[in-house]
Amino acid sequence: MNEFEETNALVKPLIMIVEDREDGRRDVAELLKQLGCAVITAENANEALKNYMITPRLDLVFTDIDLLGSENYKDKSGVDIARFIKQLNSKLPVIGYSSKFEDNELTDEERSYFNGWYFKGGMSVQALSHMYVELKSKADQHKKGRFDDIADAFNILKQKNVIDLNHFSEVLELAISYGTAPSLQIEEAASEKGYELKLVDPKTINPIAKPFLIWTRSEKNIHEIEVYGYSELYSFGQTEKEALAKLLELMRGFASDMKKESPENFAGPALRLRKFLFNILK
Amino acid sequence: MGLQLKKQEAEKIFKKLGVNEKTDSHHVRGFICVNGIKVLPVFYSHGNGDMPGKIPEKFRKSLLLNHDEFMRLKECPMRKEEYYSLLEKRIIMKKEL
Repeated sequence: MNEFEETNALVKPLIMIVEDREDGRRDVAELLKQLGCAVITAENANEALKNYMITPRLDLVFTDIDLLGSENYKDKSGVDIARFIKQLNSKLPVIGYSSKFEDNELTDEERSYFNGWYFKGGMSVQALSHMYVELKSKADQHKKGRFDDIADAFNILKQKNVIDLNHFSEVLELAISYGTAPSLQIEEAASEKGYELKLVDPKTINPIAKPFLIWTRSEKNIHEIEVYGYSELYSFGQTEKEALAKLLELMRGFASDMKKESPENFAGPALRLRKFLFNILK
Repeated sequence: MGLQLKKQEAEKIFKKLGVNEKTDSHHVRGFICVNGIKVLPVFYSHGNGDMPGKIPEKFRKSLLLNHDEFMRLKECPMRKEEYYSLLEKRIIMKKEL
């Protein structure tokens, strides 16, 4: 990760809400702000596409599918927004939601323009869980920290009984983790060489405070792992678990060496590693 | 065939480059220093025989060397001074990028 990316990772996620009802826009925008996001809004497809064209830093589009809000006619302007964006830039995640459409009222093609959706009646817990695991494992570790901050904010909101918006928040969490995934090109190239990206989760690994990603690869009963973005941190073992245990020992060792000295004694990759280890380890 | 490296060869490289070593149960680790400033974290693992899989490549990359340069360092023609001269250029290049 270069300096620009590091700086960018600290910036709040910028989300565009497309919603025709003023009260809906206001409520969702307020929630997003409380979750730590920056928000821009649009009330129709034209405004949304104009915003999209002039705002290259967008992280996510969250759009109502029926933007006319008519009782008797189901409009699909939200699909047009997703289609337009996907045709220009397939990496910007677009999440659709609707209180009017049932799950089966969008064609497969229409759905293909969205990275996720939330229809009337809601997603099943199973589908949501599956999507969550899949997207979470791809999340970029730096922005993953941001995701955790959002999750914390979400928990605070839950304590305040903002119950009716719970599902929205879950979908938002998914979308943000998806939108910040490492470049698909990197993943595809690594996958061709037998590498797979996995998340090291602090819930299951005790000495770490924050999650991080590792590349894993196995060949001839040897498992190799490498910390995503830090190629100097790697390890191997007869099992992935053994490789990870050795890697954590190495990380703790480096961190311990670095703690004894002032930051001025480090530069370049060593200084970068210092920041990473102090952030990740307990 | 990919790059081959034994623990003893990594050990020799550490000695040649003057790495101040620390050990734990699985590794020998240290830093490459330029003008007294630690710039590259480096390590190798305990064990016998050739290091497995892509591990030698990862070790090479951690020293910021290409394949030919690393072979010269490993097989001795490259002296400590030459390595540090290369490294200083690379660290500066990285800053410029």
